[in-house]
Amino acid sequence: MNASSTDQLFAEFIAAHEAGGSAPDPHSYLERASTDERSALAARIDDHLASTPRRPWDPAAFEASLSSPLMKGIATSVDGASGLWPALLPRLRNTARLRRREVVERLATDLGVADREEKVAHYYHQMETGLLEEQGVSGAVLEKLARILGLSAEALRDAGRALGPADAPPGAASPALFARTTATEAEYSSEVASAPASPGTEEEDPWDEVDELFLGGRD
Amino acid sequence: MAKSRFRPLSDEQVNGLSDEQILEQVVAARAAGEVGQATRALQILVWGYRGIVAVRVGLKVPKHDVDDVADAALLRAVAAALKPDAFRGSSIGEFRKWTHTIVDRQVVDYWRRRERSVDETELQDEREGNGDSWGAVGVSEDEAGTVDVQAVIDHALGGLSVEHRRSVELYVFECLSARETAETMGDGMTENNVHQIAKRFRTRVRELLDESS
Repeated sequence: MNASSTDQLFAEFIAAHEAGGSAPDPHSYLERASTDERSALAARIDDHLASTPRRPWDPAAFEASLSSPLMKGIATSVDGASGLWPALLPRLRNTARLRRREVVERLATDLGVADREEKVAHYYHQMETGLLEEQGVSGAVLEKLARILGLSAEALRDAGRALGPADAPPGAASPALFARTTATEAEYSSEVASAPASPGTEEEDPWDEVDELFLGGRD
Repeated sequence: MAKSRFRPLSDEQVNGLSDEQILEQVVAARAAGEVGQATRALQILVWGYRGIVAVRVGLKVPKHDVDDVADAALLRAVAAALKPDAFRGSSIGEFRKWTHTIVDRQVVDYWRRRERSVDETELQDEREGNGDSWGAVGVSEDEAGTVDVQAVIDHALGGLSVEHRRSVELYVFECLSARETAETMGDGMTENNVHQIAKRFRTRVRELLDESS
């Protein structure tokens, strides 16, 4: 395969992209390039895509996308009090191949409150369902969680802060709404069904270190 | 993000705005209590880039993880862009550039913290070896932003023989099973060979990422 062949493959990719509106799968083009040329072609395609504006408007395609976990997560996020955490946290968990209960277990251990894992589970659940305000969550929680999920604490804070302050969703932190779900993943939903009960009243469950970590403020 | 008064818009009108104007619309709609309008505007912006981002991620990440990595990258980009005054006074196109920078960072994060896949951990030799663990590594924004992950992957692939490179492409990136990869490769390659080649490739990618940052 010579250079002009690579040029030809790139031109074909561009033509298919322009004709179809959405970006085509580049692998079928890469497979036709020689091994030596494949990386260069991939880089050209990557550069092209990075400078491409949003895809042309297609109402039917847009409507079809609304059932995706991403779009449902955005809807839950905008309607909640936790910024983009309801959309982002499940995606990060999936990439890390961790179930919600595994994240909770590690988070409780890393925070030094392994004996109060149920309470950590309650608050983490609130983060994923848009019921916990970012302002209350301490830096320690975000640092540990960010490490578990593989990004920076700052990026996690940004996601929780995105969309700005909102009125607390009706019943936030209320046991009655504890079963609220993003309905984006079967795995997640099944875990919610077995989610631990929320902290009780002050008399039953006085304010403790875990409350301080999740409700006490950023520092 | 500059504050602006909220004005209800149709989907088509929202789509006609620049990225930065859509972000302003999201903030204004939410501040006005118009959750439906805010949601719709943000979904339109994300939808517009989702396909492009997924294809870019698909060039560098195994197929079965592309959706989650692409979604996370887009959400991180939006989150940062929604910071107050994030793009005030900037030119049109800044959000797009920012998004693709975050995409690259997310891919780097992915490779740095990549856990071993389930079927790889079935192998006794890999279970016993803990020096190749892909455990979580904290990555600062600045650190990740300096790495050209495509170049790193290309470099790692370039160090392989033609046969081994094809094996990595099939097993790591196209997500064939080890058995399918071995059968496709033929020529005496076994499942164990496929796992070992993939393990060495991932180790090399991680080494190169560490050297690059």
